[in-house]
Amino acid sequence: MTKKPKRLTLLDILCLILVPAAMVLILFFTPTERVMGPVQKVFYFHVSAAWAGMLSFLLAAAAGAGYLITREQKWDWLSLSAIEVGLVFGLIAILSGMIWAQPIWNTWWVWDPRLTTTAIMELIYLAYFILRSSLDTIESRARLGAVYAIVSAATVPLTFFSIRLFRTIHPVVIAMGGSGGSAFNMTPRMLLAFFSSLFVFTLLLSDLVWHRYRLARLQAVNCGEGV
Amino acid sequence: MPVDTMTEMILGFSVIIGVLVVYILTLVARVRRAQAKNELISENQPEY
Repeated sequence: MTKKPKRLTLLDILCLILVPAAMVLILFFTPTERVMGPVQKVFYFHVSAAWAGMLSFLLAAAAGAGYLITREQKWDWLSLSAIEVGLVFGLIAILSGMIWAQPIWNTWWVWDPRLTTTAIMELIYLAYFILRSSLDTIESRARLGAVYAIVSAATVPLTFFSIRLFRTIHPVVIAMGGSGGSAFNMTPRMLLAFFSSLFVFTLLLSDLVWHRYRLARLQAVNCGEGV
Repeated sequence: MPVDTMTEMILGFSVIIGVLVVYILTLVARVRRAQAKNELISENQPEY
């Protein structure tokens, strides 16, 4: 096992400081939304988790392309790591969205285009692990995994744009031209908390993917797959 | 007057932090297990 890089330790420390700081910012600095009340504050981490998940899936696709071009194992480890971490963030987005929806929509779940495409995206990436475990050789796991990661990335823009392409009750956070859904009108304090959360979750995503990548490399060494 | 959704807010943040903590703990456990296996392999490697 190679020594933990200093930059990773720094990233760990930054995340340990910034995640609670973002939470304090949300809880004590942002105003309470007039209609939804305190539950609206969940929105900052909900959107950030969805953003981190989608970014992670796109990273997995890029890493998959990297593997197909170079055939270097490190790209497969990165793709695998990004998908696993992306699934965690996706799960957070779905669960926090359900908790928000219960008092606002009076139901935990509706088959709305955004919710449905998110659930499908999550299930497609979950199937990635089933696919990998069904393959015997390292080479076939990496090659098919890379192709699967690239093809599955089509669900990311579909999920992102679903609230603009279809009729939906899901709010539009980044409103462009006021099309579809209802946009949040955020105050400057809300915007500050929102963009801070996005930044913190992007850092957290990098940190977790890096740790998971190191684990994938170590597991490969243990299995005699080499570095 | 905003709706009282304090319980849902607490539940929401608990779930977000909870899922993250559980994932980080599983990651730490897997790293430790892999490190232990790695050390065992290194110790048992024959010397040429």
